Amino acid sequence: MTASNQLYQGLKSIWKKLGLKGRVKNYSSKPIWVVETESGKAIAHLLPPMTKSPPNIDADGFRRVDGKPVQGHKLWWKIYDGSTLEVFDDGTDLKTSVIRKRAVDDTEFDSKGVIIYDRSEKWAVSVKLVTDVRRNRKRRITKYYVTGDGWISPEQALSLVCQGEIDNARPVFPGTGKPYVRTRRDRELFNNLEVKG
Amino acid sequence: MKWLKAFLFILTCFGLMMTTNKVRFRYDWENAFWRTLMTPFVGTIWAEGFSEERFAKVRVGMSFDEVAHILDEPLRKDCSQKGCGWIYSNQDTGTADYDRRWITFDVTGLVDGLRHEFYID
Repeated sequence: MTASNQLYQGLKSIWKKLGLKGRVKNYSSKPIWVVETESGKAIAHLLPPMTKSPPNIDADGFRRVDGKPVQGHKLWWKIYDGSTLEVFDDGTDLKTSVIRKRAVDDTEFDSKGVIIYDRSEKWAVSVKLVTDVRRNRKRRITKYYVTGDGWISPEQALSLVCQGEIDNARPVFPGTGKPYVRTRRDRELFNNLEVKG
Repeated sequence: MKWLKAFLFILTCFGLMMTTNKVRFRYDWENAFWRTLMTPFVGTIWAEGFSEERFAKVRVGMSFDEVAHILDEPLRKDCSQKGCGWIYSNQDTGTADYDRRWITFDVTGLVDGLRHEFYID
């Protein structure tokens, strides 16, 4: 093996260890199918509302369970490694937040288009959200309410956010002062931590 | 000026690599572009003795025997009620991008589709 080939293989193994997998988060009120091909077979798993695909699985695409089109396409929307697709309600349709997705059919995931449908609700993981905060007299946040975990301290919240376990918050590391948690930027003003508690 | 030269050099190298991939894998420009761009993330396992030249000879409507006469054994044969898929290449990990070479047969055993593309997982 040449030095350049060794370097190439080394870089490739680092990339694979990073495990940049495609993920789907369903914030809509409608269940969706998420397809993955980790085992060599194309398996579609049920993703009920307010759940997400497990972090160790590379999700490859999604479609609606009721067979209705999403943004004009009835079959699968293919997503790519490293991208997280978030699904929201948009009237009777669904809208998504992902930079790049492609309209495909069943044969994208299996040579003969054979998709195995797994209707178990156990595959999906609940989304974890910060929904409320408690403050002290100085208006500093002393507790965060996290769905599924209840009230937790700012340190615990920061730890969970850094591990990517909380879906609507991100860590901030200011140049001076302690790191803190803030909500992700979106169009809704009144779900922001600044106005809660 | 220095940055412009560096940019032009990188662009030329990329163009040369893209052309090489286009010829080597018999891709169109779009597949050649993505194959070149995603090179660090490519992991293709090929069927033993696979050849692009011989794969290019397979045509829609050929039978199992005719395909077997042109190509060696695939990595895998997936058969179902919808027909069969002969898999000549696969990804080496669950997230690798790869050069996809599939031949699909209908229920009567005739080729009904060929997948010859660069697949981004």
